[in-house]
Amino acid sequence: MSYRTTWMAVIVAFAVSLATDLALGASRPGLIASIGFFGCVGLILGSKWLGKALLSRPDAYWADTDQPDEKPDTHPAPDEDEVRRPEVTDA
Amino acid sequence: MLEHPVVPFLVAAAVAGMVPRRIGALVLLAAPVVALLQLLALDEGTTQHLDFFGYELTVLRLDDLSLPFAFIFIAIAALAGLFGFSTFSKGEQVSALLHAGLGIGVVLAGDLLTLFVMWELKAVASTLLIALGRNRSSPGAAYRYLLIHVLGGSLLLGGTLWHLSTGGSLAFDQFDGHASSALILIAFLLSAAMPPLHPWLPDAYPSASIAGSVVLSAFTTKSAVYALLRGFPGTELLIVLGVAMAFYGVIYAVLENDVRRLLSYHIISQVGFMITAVGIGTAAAVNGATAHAVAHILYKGLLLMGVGALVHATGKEKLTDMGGLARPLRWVMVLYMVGALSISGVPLFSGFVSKELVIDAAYGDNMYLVVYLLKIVSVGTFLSTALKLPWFAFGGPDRGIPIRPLPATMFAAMGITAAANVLLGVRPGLLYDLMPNPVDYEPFTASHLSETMQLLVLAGLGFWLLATKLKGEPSITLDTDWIYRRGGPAVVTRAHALAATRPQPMATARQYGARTWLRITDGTLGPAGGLGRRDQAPTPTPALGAIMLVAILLLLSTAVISGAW
Repeated sequence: MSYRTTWMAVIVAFAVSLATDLALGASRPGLIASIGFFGCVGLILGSKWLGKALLSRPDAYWADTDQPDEKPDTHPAPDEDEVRRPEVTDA
Repeated sequence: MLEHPVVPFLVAAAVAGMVPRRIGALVLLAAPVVALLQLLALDEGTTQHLDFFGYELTVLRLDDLSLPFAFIFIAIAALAGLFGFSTFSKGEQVSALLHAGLGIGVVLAGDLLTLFVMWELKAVASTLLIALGRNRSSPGAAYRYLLIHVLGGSLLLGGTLWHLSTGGSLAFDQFDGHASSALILIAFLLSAAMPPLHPWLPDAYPSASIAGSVVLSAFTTKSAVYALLRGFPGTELLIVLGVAMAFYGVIYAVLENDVRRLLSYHIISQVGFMITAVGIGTAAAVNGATAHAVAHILYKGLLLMGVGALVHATGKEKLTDMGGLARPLRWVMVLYMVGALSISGVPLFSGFVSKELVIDAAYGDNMYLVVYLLKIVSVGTFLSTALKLPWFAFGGPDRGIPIRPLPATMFAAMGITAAANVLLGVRPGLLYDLMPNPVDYEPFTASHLSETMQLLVLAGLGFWLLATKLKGEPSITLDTDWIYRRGGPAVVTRAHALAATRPQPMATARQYGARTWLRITDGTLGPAGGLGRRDQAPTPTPALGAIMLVAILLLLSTAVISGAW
């Protein structure tokens, strides 16, 4: 879906929402649809801004250990003797 | 006493410690079955008492509030046990059984002393579960988790003893608003992961093993919600805190790149819904908080199983390292999406019938602002769990990531949990019948369905417009744990520098005091202490010693003040 089609879809969705609200006699027609769209856009832009301005740090921020860990990543292995070799599937 | 549902878990933990791992996995499944039979055999309203040095303790109180929590705790213990059937190590089996059993003990405790004992032992069991995780960050995260929860436990004990010394009753019921109950409230909020006391959660849960995260996600925060429902219903401050908490979680989830940390922030957000309902405190709101806790345990369990399966299959934790997994992990995607649609409150899934109960309670009390703010949070939940995470993990071209085969038991656990989520969504009566108060709410009305669909469709379109902006970045997000992981060590280092500039021979009382103080803060906050250490294998003695000392002093002083002993 291109950018232009998406905007068209937004407009259609707003119109359908408003019509449904009016048909069902909602107390504030269009409000929920606005919360959906602007809430989503606002959360994405707001959070991203907050991350850039204040909160984001490089990936290795907490990993600056005094003793670098040489242990391989063994998440799924419960016991040493049960480690299975990862199988590579044909992609 | 033997018919207490905690007993099979404790016995099973002892057994699992002695038998081989494969048999322990069966023990892990058997314990919840026995506990469930015991729970069903007990009549509602049953209490059991124990005489303890002249105090009559109520070790079991099964009433209409504790029943739904005990029931769902037993169910998720079995499901998590099945999920971890082939991946749990022996130590994890023991600590998972202890953690689950003691969580059930918390919600069945009828007096404050039993509550405290269960609460603290549960924290120790969960610490073990985190420490036994096979991540590089596991030992450090477990250690920080322990220190924070020992602090919470001390607050709970201090508050309880103060409460008793001012003539309060030992029974665990609604508190009267005396200053002592503020300590207990803070202890509960710490365990519920209320910001800014929350960073232990996204720090510790992703550091456990994949099945360990599923176990952890169920018990600690939800038993805190139960404790708040029991002790502080209708405390209006909780409405504000709950809504703020719900927002905090979704904002951090948008920024998060690590899949399990992302879901951890959504635990915080969803617990915010429950705490808002506790603050509203009406019969409908108490139902809402309870129903949402039950549904949350099921769908969050499923989500963490889904990403756990992803991590198991790929060995990767970050969204930026994933992508194109829709084909090789098709069924994981389908089952994960059931959880994602449930947490987003899509009709016919469990979250819809429980979340709407909370929102309806706020609506019934004319709190329109709360209603609309929680709707925005619902949008954020949908955005991160149902759109962003699956889009970047499963979507896109296949990147040829090596896939490790998944054990059948993982699929079985995910399948059953997904079925339970759909069942509650289709037949909400099953959930509503469990609630403490009669439920007078019809979820499937035209206006509810239309509102939900409008919200989700327009949020989906908003995501589509901005999807490129949401693409994960290889970065981490600072949270309030920075204060003790970096801020504390910086202050202590600075204090040392200041102390070193003083003339040395002048050993005045003030200097002596300063040095003693530094010795304590070095152990906890300093660069070599437990909270602020940069290497991942902290030596526990100094920090634990300092925390234990504080706990013992707190205990002794309150005991002396209250004349309890």
